[in-house]
Amino acid sequence: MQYCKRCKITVRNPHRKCPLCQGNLEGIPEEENQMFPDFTRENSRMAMGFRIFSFVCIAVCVAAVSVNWTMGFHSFWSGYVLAGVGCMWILSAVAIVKRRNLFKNAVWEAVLLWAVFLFWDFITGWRGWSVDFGIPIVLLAVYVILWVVVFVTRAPVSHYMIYMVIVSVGSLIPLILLLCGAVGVRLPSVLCVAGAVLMLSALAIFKGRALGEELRKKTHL
Amino acid sequence: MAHFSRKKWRTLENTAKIFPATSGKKDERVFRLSCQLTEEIDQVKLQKALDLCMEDYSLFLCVLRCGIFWNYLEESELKPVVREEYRPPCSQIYVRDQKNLLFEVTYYKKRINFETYHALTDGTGALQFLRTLVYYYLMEAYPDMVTGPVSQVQADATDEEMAEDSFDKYYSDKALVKDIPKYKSHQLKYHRLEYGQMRLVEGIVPTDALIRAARSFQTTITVYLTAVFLCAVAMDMSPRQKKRPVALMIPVNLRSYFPSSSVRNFFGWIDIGYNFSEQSEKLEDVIAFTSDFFKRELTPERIAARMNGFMRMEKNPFMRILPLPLKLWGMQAGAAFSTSADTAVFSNIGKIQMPRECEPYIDWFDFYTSTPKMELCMCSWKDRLTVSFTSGYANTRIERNFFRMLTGQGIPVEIIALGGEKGGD
Repeated sequence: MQYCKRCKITVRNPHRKCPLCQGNLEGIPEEENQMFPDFTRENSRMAMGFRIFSFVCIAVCVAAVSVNWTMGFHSFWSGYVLAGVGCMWILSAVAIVKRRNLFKNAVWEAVLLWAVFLFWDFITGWRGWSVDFGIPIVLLAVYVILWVVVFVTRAPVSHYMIYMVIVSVGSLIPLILLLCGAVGVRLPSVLCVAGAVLMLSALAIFKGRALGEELRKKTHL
Repeated sequence: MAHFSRKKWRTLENTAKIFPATSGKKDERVFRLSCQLTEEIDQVKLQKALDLCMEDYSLFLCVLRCGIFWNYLEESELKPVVREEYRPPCSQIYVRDQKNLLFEVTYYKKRINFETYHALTDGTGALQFLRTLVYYYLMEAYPDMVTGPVSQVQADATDEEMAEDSFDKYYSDKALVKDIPKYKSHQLKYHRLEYGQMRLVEGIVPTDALIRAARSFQTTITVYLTAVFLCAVAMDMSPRQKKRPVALMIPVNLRSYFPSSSVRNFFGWIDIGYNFSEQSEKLEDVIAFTSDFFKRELTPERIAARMNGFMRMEKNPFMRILPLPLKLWGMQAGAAFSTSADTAVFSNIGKIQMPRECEPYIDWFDFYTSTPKMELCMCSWKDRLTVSFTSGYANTRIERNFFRMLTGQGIPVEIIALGGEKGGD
């Protein structure tokens, strides 16, 4: 064991300097007294990948604006590039941050996609495709994704129940849009509302107790 | 109140509610209790012991989830798996959105480590778990010598009593909080280690030597070490810094005041402040002050007053109806504002006991936690008492002062250190 004369302490695990005063130690370090494994850390690949992706996004924006500027801003097409890259970056960032819970991830992405579709419909001269197709198709896709994840991962009821409820309640929006007459092409929205009614009744009939339990858990004061 | 056995989920107890809000890279709110045995650990036997142990502590098999108003713990099917130690002590255990268990059992050479996220249990609960685990392990490893029954190391309690929320049981809004001392304390301003890193400096000292030193001041080990810690901080302060008191947060096991066999969180704390510019700097005077302070504050009435203070906040209807994200921000802001209340933390889980037949196989126990500032943890096993400093600071001046004060009293100290030394470890 090693000894520090100044602190009058013995040091059990091998050190070059006294851990208290950084002075020199007497005696020989004994490797068998190593108390901890080597903790040299690996940098997360995910974090590095995302940094590269973020940088590429910025580079694309800079390149687009530069070219647009060089050619003179007759039409501001680089604005669309900025908006596109921005949307893509946000969607990917949320997908990464929420990667540990696929259900939560799907719900977040759905809400963001609604915003993205409405935004693009708006900046490309409002033709209503986001309301007719965008919103209901995203919801329908989420139904399918949630059920596929449930069956593939064999997740227990308590893991997915609340997200099914959230998505079903989200279908109130196409319903309201339908009732207000804001929808031009009805089929996707009607499918979506029908799907929500089916899903909620299936949950209530087959998993009624779990549904009640889940709601109590999530809302306990 | 939610009972785990029936409902398969439970709310977080009072002091545990803060942990999901404030745990992060800076402080993972994880603590480790470990036991150094005399021989190398066998992974297969340890896994067997852990499986047996989980039958007794099934309420630890849960994951932390978010509700609309509060977090809650939900029963999980996951089974803990023993691994060789693979990351620095007190690393992240609770990962948002990830449904994983809130504790981990690892081993390295002769040591068994139990690490847990603080929302799951407190030091007392964790210690009870570790003692059971070690006992099961020794039964596996030395079946001729350690024969059981395992009930020797377990509390005489039903599953329901172990899963009780004792805060809820003992809360009363009658005793009004009065004159609880509060400080605007000295804050350590040292350079920090790299983000998310922690330094550990642990001293193993002979218990009887420490008792002798404490007796020479007519006091107990706890009071003596608290005073030495206060002085160790003060030795490195400038006269200007000394205008502010050095304040230590001292967690208190509420089970000592309110009978409970719960293995969930049931702790409170007191803050002791000592002003080195107004009061004497001599160790014996600091000891006398500390001893008086403990006598005054560690009474059932004063402890109850503090506990009811924490509880009142939780029971406040406005607080309750805030959605969880707002609550978490609120708690984070509250925690950020109250950081100047304490300089450091001194946590003591006291004397650890194991049945006589285990004694030849156990070398020592130790205990330490993650911290953004500095925390001193202590426990003792027979003749080996461990005092463990963890800190996020790059220098070790306080640790040096502390241990030099001990060696100055003729107490032999053996140091185990981790982190901070470039290329060394």
